[in-house]
Amino acid sequence: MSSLALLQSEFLNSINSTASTPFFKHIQSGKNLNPQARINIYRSSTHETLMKTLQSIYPICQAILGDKYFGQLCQQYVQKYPSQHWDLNLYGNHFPVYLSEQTAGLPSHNKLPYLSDLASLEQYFHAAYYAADNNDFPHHAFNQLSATAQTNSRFILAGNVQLMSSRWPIYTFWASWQQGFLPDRITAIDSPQYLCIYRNQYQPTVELIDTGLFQLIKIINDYTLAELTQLAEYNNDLCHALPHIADCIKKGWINHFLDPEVKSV
Amino acid sequence: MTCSRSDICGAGIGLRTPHVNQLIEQHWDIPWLEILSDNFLAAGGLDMAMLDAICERYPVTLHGVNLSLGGTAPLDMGYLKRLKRLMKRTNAAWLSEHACFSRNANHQSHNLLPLPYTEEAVTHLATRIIQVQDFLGEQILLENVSAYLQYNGSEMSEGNFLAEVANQSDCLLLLDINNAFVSAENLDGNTKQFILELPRHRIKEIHLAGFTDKGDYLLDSHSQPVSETVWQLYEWVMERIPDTCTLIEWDSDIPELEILTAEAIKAERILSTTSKYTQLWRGSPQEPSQESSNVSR
Repeated sequence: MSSLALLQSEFLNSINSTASTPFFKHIQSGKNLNPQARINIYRSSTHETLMKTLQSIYPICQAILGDKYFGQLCQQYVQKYPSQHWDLNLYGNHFPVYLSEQTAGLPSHNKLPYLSDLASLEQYFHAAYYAADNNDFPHHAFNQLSATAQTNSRFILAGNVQLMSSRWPIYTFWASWQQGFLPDRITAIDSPQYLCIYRNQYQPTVELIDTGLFQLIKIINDYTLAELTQLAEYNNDLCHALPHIADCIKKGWINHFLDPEVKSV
Repeated sequence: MTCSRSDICGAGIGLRTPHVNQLIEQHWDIPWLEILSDNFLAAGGLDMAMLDAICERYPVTLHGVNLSLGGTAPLDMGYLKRLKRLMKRTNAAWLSEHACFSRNANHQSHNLLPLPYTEEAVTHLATRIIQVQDFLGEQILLENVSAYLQYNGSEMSEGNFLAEVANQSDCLLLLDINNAFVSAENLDGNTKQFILELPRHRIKEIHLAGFTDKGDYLLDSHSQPVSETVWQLYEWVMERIPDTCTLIEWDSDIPELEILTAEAIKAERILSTTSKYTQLWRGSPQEPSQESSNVSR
């Protein structure tokens, strides 16, 4: 490793560690600040950037936990998980699981078992905002296929579509937040809620869907239309969902298809 | 809007999210805008559509923070390709970046970390700039960063370091006067001496911003008006390199657009007294543009 590479590595390590590091020996003290204080300026700035990122992605979690406790969790998180990518929108991938781990230790009346699911929803919502723009489904090319080729085609989901399910009524929670308030309490539900998170033109959108449509969208990339039809013979939910493929195309959830006989469209 | 390097003159402002709608819906008589490229490298979405609308109305330049030009980890070619696509999409007159590093193989600091001023770092930084310029097919502008530490191992001054890098790589320079002042105050340096060491014919752009006095040090916060000391330094610089386009940066506690443009008008007045570019711009909104945008936040 060159001396420049070693110096840079030690600098970055010192930003991520509060302990005395070998990097200090490279720094001049100056009149007002010692090396530790000088490193702290860079450390604070880095942590502040990452904490602001988490606050911007997870506003509902912040509202539930309160600014102080959320801030403490963020601070611990940025120390445990330094950023590894220039794109701040990708920061915080472990945050939903981390929240779940941290809040598991709270007293029982303060436990927030739904928090991880809610954080995942916020993460998907944020990702949808920055996702690639959708191309329109190539209706003309699809209509030109023979009936056999159509049934042997696979429909492909748009890149900005994400699915999730929860045994907590997080959609209800989400909808309340959009109205400007948080529900007083939240209790587990008998049947899970299924959500599709996507972008409608430029607006990230969360839509409650039924179990059949959830199952269909989840597997749609992997099966041809003919195979899906076969599967639906043994699965009532899927059977009811199949006719909704046209709606999925209309909403932009499905935006292209693969024709095995010809080429990707 | 097709934008060439000669279109960028006078005092512009940095484009910030709270002002985007206003700048699209009303035509502000602003000579040019600087786009923070890292905010517009997403694959799609509303921000990109709004950027397109901005670029139809104003000449723009790009300013990046994550290229890690001085870093020893390999250049991120994926990032560089996105930058090149953005330059094409925006018709930006140029791209500027910082004389610093920000990452290695494991960590990204999201900070502009200073380099040691050594021969090794000169060669390394110049080589990387040549690589970037070859890839982009044009010269970039290299900006001095604000620093809070200096290395025992430095072999030359910051001014001589930047001069040598610029000469070896044939890049242009972006002189951030606020950064220069903040660094000099924090590191017992001399701002004017630093500026005099730079090859003035390579200085293509000036940055002005506000700092925060933290007691023990000055923080390059971009959250305040430009300080009186920095304005005085700006006048001094403009007497030496008139006609150098200037940009007001403001990133935290972002004020109303009127306040930001007032800072730019102040810079413009100083520019006009020292420059061939004499047309004072008003900085106030005119009637809404005929091309009203369909894009709004």
